[in-house]
Amino acid sequence: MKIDYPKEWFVHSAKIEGDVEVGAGVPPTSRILDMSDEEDSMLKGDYSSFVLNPAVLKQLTGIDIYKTRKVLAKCA
Amino acid sequence: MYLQKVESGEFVPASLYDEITDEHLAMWSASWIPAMKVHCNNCPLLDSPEDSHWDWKRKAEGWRELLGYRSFSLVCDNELQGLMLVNDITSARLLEQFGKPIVYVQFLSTAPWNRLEIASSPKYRGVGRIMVLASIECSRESGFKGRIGLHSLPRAEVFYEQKCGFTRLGNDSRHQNLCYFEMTEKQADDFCHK
Repeated sequence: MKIDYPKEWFVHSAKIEGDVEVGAGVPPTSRILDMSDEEDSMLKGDYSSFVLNPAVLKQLTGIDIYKTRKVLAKCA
Repeated sequence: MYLQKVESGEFVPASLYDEITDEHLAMWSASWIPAMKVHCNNCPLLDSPEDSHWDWKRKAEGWRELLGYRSFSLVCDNELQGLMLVNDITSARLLEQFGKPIVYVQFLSTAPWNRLEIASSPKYRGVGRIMVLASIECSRESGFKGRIGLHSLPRAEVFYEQKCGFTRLGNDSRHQNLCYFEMTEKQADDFCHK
């Protein structure tokens, strides 16, 4: 992948960006239980660190860990 | 590409890699973690950075074997300035492009020293928009015409909506109530021409 933009673009872009916060991904509540990390470990078939019942997790968050794993495995 | 050195105002060359290598993870471990720890030790849990618990090393072990995932790292002055993980197995939610494939930004972080909430004066400016640019180009390369989407961390919503031109689709109860943002082909073109 080649990104070929003139220096002016980056100069203008930095001005637009300013000093605002930048970040995407997992919310602060998950500091206690990092869902992304749990999903990562589940991708590898490791459920040992998973502290919640998957059925309860689905009810609470809507995340179906079995489905997620199946879809990602299929893609791989 | 270039980042702005905030202290002097000058623009310095930066390199974007379309991979997070072991070397980048070592840089993350040696520089980001200590800086984040120092900051977190001095502030209440709720005030600590929203991504302070992310373990990029552990995440890397999960995605490296998977097709459909791509990672990016931004380096400037031999320092790691930004990390991003995207996938191309997600579909659009915005009505005008509903169901079409997008590049979804799964995780995006900037170095602790570039954040106003951690450093009294950020070191470099422009990391966020370069990462958005990279995800747009990744989308174009995949044939998705620049369509991208992401769930923003709460403190970063202003950045995506006002500084990048994403469309806000509201809070997503299926993704821990984070606000979901999406960019159309037209918005991506506008972003790249700004």
